[in-house]
Amino acid sequence: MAQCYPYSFSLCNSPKYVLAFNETITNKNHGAWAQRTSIAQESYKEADTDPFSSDDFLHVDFKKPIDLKHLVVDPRWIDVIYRMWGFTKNTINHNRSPDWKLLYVAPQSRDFATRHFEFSGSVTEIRLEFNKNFGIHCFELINFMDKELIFSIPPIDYNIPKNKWMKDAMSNFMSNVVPQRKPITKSKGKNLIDMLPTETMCKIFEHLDLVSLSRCAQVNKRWNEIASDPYFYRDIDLKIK
Amino acid sequence: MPQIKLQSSDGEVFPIDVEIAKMSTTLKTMLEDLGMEDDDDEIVPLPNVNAAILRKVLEWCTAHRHDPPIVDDPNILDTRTNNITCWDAEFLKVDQGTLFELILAANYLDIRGLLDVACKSVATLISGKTPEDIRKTFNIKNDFTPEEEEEIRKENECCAEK
Repeated sequence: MAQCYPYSFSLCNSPKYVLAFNETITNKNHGAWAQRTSIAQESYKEADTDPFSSDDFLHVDFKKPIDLKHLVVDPRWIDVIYRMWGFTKNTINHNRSPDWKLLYVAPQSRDFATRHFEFSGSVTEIRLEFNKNFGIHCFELINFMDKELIFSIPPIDYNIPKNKWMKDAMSNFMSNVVPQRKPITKSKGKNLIDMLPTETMCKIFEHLDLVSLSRCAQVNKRWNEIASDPYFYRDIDLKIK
Repeated sequence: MPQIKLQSSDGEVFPIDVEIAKMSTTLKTMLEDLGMEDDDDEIVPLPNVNAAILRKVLEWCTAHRHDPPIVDDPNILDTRTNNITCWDAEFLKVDQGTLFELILAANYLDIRGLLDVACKSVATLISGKTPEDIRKTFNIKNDFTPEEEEEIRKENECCAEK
């Protein structure tokens, strides 16, 4: 088959990302989808109350079903992603369950070898669950994951030279997958800052002290939600000035 | 010096040194994974960055090409007190729209230093202002009801400067 993977996906550049990310902070439950999986959820441990725990997941959905054949897990990744689930819309038999299929579970040991996993069937959505130890620099992690995932999906046909399918994946990603955003139009009296996605607002708020953060929380509903995020209150300096 | 070409969303092509392109982690990952370094004809499309912003981004990258890489060490990095250098301050004397565009571009291209300094620059616009002043600065509409506003004000009282 001379077909390269016709897709690649992004976690941090898609609007879905922001949704998924908020979800990881506010929704500690796996929700109804987990009930449909073939493996029952493990019971919550106390450590899971950490805002960025293994209960955190990202949700990536594809415009059309993708034929997932291989997953190559880089050794650095072995314990970053804890589990990966795939969702297939079962159009033939609606009664068949489960629709969520466990695709990948992190191995117990690290052996510093790249691993290949084989799948069959197509998926329309993927859910990645993170290892709870990847906490504080979650934003960096996700940014990093973004790039890793784009380039970590191997071609179906290994005979295609690497740079050929990479190039296709790259140009497809750059031109199709990255959502075209509206340019910020510079007009006077317009609220421009709220055109920034939550992810970048967080990066600005990172540079503020507690007093300024508490004032940001009083600006409007969106700022209140962002500035109240536990992310900013992990590293509080209790020194008396 | 090997070069690559970047194409802005409005079609302008920028030939730049690979060394400078690699200050963008996005482009660095791509170049390394693709092994594109010897391939002069390759044009990398950047659909989310227009020519005016890309020019600014490249100007910053060129000026900072010899910067040491940013390390994440909580002992030496205190982002709250880090100062913006004179050059950067001059560079960031732009209107808000351009500043936000720069942040989006730096985020998309993953240019850590530029993202940091641009975000810091916005943070200085926020810092020390009252909520009403912040709204005025960025033309933000207050969408709280008076009751909600009072409640949130109380919640945040503990942090208010005495």
